[in-house]
Amino acid sequence: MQSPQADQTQRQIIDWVQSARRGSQRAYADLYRRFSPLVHSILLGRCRHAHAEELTQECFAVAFARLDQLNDPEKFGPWIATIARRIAVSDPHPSEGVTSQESVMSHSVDAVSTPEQYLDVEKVLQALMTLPEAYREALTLRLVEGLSGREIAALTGLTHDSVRVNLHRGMDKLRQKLSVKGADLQRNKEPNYGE
Amino acid sequence: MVSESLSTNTDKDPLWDPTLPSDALVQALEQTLKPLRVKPNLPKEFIRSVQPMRPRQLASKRVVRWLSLAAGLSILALFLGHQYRLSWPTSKAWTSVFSDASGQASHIALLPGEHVRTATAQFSELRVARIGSIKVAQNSELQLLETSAGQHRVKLNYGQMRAKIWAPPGYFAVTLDDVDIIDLGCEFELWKHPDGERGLQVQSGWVEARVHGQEILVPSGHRLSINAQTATTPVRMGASTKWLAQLQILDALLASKNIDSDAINLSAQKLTALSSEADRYSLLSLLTRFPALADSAIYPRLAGYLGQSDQGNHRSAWRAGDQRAINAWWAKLPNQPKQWWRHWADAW
Repeated sequence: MQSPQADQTQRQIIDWVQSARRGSQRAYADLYRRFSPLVHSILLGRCRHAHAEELTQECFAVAFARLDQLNDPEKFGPWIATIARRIAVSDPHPSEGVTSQESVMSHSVDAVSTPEQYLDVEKVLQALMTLPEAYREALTLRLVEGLSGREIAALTGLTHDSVRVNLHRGMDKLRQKLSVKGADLQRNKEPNYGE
Repeated sequence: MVSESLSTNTDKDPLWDPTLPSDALVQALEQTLKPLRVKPNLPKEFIRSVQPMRPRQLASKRVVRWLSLAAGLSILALFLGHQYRLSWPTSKAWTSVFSDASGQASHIALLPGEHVRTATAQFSELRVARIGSIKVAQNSELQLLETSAGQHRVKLNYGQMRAKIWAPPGYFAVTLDDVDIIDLGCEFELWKHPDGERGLQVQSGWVEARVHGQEILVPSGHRLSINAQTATTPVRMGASTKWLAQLQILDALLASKNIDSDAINLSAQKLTALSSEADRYSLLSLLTRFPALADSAIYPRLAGYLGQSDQGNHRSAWRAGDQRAINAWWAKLPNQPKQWWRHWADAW
């Protein structure tokens, strides 16, 4: 049985979808604000991060144009996640096989400020991409989008236990990978961490 | 162990709650990846560019869905109806309606082995299971031999009958003495007159006549005479008397035990000279039954009618009785014998 808060969230999503079907710009914005972290994190785990934001908007454009095909409005989250995964598959710039140098050349510099910082982003993203999908998506939502476990569960439709397991197991694997592949990350950033 | 690192208390778990203080690596990762965070606001120009579905579009999609559903149900109903139409319990009686000149009608059931016999000014109409009907003319006798799903057989002892059948090839057949007439989905008339004249005439579709080991296909608009020894060539209704006379001569020469090649070639030449494109089926049937006629004038004339030429030694292959060569020209006919369903009008 769902909590009253979850029920309210579901009703809100249904309202947004129904309003969006009638062309409400406010509803488009609300749906985007709520689900863009989910879509973005899926795309970030599969495409070059320079393209992830642009593809996120493309994903919403596709979803809004096909809203009539969504039979169950409360399933908007899983539905748009499926669209995002399909878009990622058809993306001509997948993340796999991209060298660090290629990514540097194709990256827009608004997101990160220095080449060193960018290098760290690349290393972390490459390590993230080697994780199983469930761990990768949960960790991206947590570390990139800054969402809590409760928010991740609400967005993905997973149980709290599943999200917690994915976060912890994913983090353990990421620690192992970074300790092997990315000692620089730790070493370079140590002065800034200050425990 | 991975499981050991799982926190069971979410209240004190910094991975679960980002507001709680976390270890150095998690903090470093958050700091490194934070710049990639998606911007929560959708650009206004993007929102303005989204075209919502108009009510008319939504309505038309609903209409398309309903039409698709209706079409699907209609196809299912047609399929089930067709299956029911072709089914029939073994040896179940057919119904027959007798009528006479006074207009009086009587219904009878006809079981396998039983006859329908009509006198002068008396007629009968039988339902052939669920696949069609037979009209029996006056002074005729028809016997029901067997009936079951896919196997309906009658025998015309004498007189005349007209069958209208819509079913796959071979579902219905008529025996006429030593000749079998196989329905290929069509409407046809069959007769055996007291003077011994026998024949059939096809109104629509195709019929196959099996006469003394020969299989002769008769298409719509053609008739076939059957004499005591053999079948002749199917001829179109409306063929000229001269052409028919010349065909009879050629048929007789071909049926003769003493083959006279010169006489056959001369006769074939005369027939060709009298032929028009409307006679192409008769010529094709002749060539099929007697492949040696490929040497005669019939071959090039028929090739012209069918838009073919002697490519790849087709003529010599035909002469040798090569079935592929023969089938290649049959395939050029606009109405193929196997396309029985195209004569759907015969269903009623």
